[in-house]
Amino acid sequence: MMPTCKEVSERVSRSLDEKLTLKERIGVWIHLSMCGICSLYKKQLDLMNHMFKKVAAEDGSEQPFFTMSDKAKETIKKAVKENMDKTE
Amino acid sequence: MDDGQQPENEHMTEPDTWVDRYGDYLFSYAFQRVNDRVAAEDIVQDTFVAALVARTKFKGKSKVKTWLTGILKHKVIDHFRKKYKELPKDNIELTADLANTEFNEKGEWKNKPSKWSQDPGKLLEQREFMEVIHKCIAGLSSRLASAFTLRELEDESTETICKVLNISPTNCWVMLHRARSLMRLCLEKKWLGAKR
Repeated sequence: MMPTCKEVSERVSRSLDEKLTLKERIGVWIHLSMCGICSLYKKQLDLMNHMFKKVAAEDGSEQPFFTMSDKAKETIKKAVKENMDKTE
Repeated sequence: MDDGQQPENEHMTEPDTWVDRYGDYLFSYAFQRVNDRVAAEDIVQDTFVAALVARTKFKGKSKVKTWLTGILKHKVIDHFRKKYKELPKDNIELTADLANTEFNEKGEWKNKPSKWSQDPGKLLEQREFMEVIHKCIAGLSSRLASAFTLRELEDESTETICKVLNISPTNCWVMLHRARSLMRLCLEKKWLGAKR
C-alpha cells in the first residue's frame, strides 16, 4: 500500500533519527516523486536539521547569545569561592 | 596565535576567574538546551563546583572551556532525568491540535507547508531570527522541547532520549516528529513564510 502524506511526513522525520526499512524507503521515494507538498516538507525538515547543527556548533567565539544577570553571576562566584576554599 | 605549531597543553585557569571567563558561554549553552533560566543558572553553578573537585585531573589536552562544557553536558542530562522521573511513561502529550490541523482523515495535507523565502541556515547571524528560534522552542510543551533540543542540539540518540525523558521507545519518534512539525510551522509563521 502506498503511504499517505501523513505517513510520509512521519517517516521523513523518523529517517532523521533511525534507518527506515527498505520497504518504507521505497514507499517514501515513490510518494515524494509524485507529491510536491511532501517534497517541500522534507526539504524544510532537512533545512531545519542543518540549521540546528550550525546552532549547536556555535563555539562561543562570538558573544554568547544568552547571558546571566549580574546577580546570578555573583551568586555563582560566591559558591565557587566557598567550594574553592573547601577543595584547596 | 596561530603560527602553525603544535599548541602547548592548555593550563588550568584560576577558578576565581571562571565565572567571568566562561559563565555566559556555559549559561547560553545550558539555557538553549533546558529553556529555563533558573535551571540553567543552577546547572552552571553545579558545573563549576564539580569542576573544582576535578580540576587536578585536567590534563590540558583540551581547552578549559571544552572541558567545562563536557561536565555541563552531563549536568544537563541529570537535570532532565530528574525533571521527568515522575511523569507517567505513556503520557506523550497528545497534541490533538497538530494532529487534526495538518492532515485530514485520509492522511492528506490540510494545512500545507508554504515555500520558504529564505534558507534558515543563512539567518543565524541575525539576532532577531535567533530569538524567533528560541521563542518557537519555548512554545513547545516541556517534554517535547526537551526531546527536541537533546536530539537537534546535543545529537543524543533516541535511545538515550527515551531513557532520560522517561518516554517509551515507541513514543519517542512520535514526540520528535511532533516537535519538528511544530517547529517547522512556528518558524514558517514567524519568519520564513513571509516575503522579506
